[in-house]
Amino acid sequence: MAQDWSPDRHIDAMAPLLGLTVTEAQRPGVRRFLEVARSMAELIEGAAPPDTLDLAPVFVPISPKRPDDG
Amino acid sequence: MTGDPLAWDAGAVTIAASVAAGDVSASEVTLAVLARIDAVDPALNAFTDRTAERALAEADQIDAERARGGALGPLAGVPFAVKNLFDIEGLATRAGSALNRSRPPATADGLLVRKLRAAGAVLTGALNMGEYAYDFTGENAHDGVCRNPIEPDHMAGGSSSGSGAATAAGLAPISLGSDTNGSIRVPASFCGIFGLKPTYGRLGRSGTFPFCDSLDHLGPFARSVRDLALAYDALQGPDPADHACANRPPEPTAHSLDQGIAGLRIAVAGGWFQRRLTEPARAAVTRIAEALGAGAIVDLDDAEIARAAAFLITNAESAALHLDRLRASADAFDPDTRDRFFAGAMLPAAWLVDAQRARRAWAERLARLFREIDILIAPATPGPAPAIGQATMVLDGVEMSTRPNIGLFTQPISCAGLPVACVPAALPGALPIGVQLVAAPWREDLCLRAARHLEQVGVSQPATPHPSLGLA
Repeated sequence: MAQDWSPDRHIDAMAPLLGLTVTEAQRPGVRRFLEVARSMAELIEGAAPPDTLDLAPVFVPISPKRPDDG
Repeated sequence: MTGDPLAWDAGAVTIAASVAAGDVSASEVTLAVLARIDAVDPALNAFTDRTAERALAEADQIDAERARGGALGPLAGVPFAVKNLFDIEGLATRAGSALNRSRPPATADGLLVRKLRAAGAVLTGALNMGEYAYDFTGENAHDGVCRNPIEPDHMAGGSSSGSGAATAAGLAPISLGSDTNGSIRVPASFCGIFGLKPTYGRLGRSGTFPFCDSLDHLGPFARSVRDLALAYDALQGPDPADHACANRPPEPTAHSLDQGIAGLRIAVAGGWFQRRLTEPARAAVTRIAEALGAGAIVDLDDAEIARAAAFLITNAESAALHLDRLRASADAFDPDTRDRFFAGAMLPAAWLVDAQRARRAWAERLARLFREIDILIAPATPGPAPAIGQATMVLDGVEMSTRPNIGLFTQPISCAGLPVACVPAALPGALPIGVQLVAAPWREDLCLRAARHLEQVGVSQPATPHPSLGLA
């Protein structure tokens, strides 16, 4: 993980991209939760075998048939 | 529990049997419960909406049906209430928020409300919860704190706080909650009652306000295992409107509760699940393990990764759900919830993909474990309910934030979508604390059989409400 990551710079970049306004009063809380999320991401990094992409959710194509169609 | 259907602790089985036998009318039971809610709920703040008029009309219908000699459902005359993220016809589904109060009233009851009604149960109201279900404490900035009926200065737990409190205090023999990372199991643990989080995809979620699609489960609370099973059986069945519902045919559990635990392979969760426990939590697990004759301890240190995965999935999905509300009305949120959502909206996509990879790996790990065992015993909460407003707690000598760490042991289990019965496990007179009984997917019957055994041998009994409530 990046060693020079700044939650404030992250907020500065992402908030406008998402159309969000994070006030100065709100910033400390958002910063704290971003740091928690980062610590969670560090825990799972590398947990899965390399060069695999087995995701928990599986998309099931949706049939046009209704349940009561013959 | 009492055999008197009008007593504060009358269970669903007693009430339904008494109504069916004509010993008491559904109207009498409903009036008694409504009066009890009026008397007791001001001290607890479990209810956000009361549907008294509707409840009495429903009770009248039950009584009229009985007078005609018609067939009554298995929950005929049993009062129930639901977390306020369930749609109730005519009410705005507030989901613990201020913003949702301006939504148009629901045009129909949610599916599980309809199922309990079809079984003859009588709806008395909607229950307090953590804002948008992102909470383990029961402290709601808009609707006020929901208090623990056993020790009212302590948390009821969340996010299904009102459900846990109402059922523990005899205000709702059956209540419904939701559980994404622990929101049924935490209130069950803190309030000293039984709670069931079924397998992910077992119960249909249509007609509820969502939190995290990948992890949302719905389930019942009760003060006895038989009541829990009766409610759970009535809730089962397909839900074409919920894309995640497995649409399995009902697999009733009430008839097999007394089969006992002979032949069941029962183990205790170790590693992650044996650290950061207070002494009451550790003793509760030991008590349950001894009563079930548990064998091995299974090292599950990778549960920490599962918890992290569930955290990121929850944070991102729920934030996406609320993005428009965050743009337009950020100040209308509870600041704690709002800031979680802000952060969740900004998470890198790669973290989410990694979280879903980790989730699958963990589910496969547990599937391999459940080839060797039938029931896994794990703590539900690190300790009994903290005091209301308690911001930090000390676990293993380390001070940490209370709110996110209440779910240390529930979050990894729901990450894998496994069924869990949370059973009360405290000594009489002590603050309540629960223990999780976990089974393989679709084996809610085994969770409930083990819970019933603990109840029969006297190890799992619902807690007694505080004397100040004037109940016991």
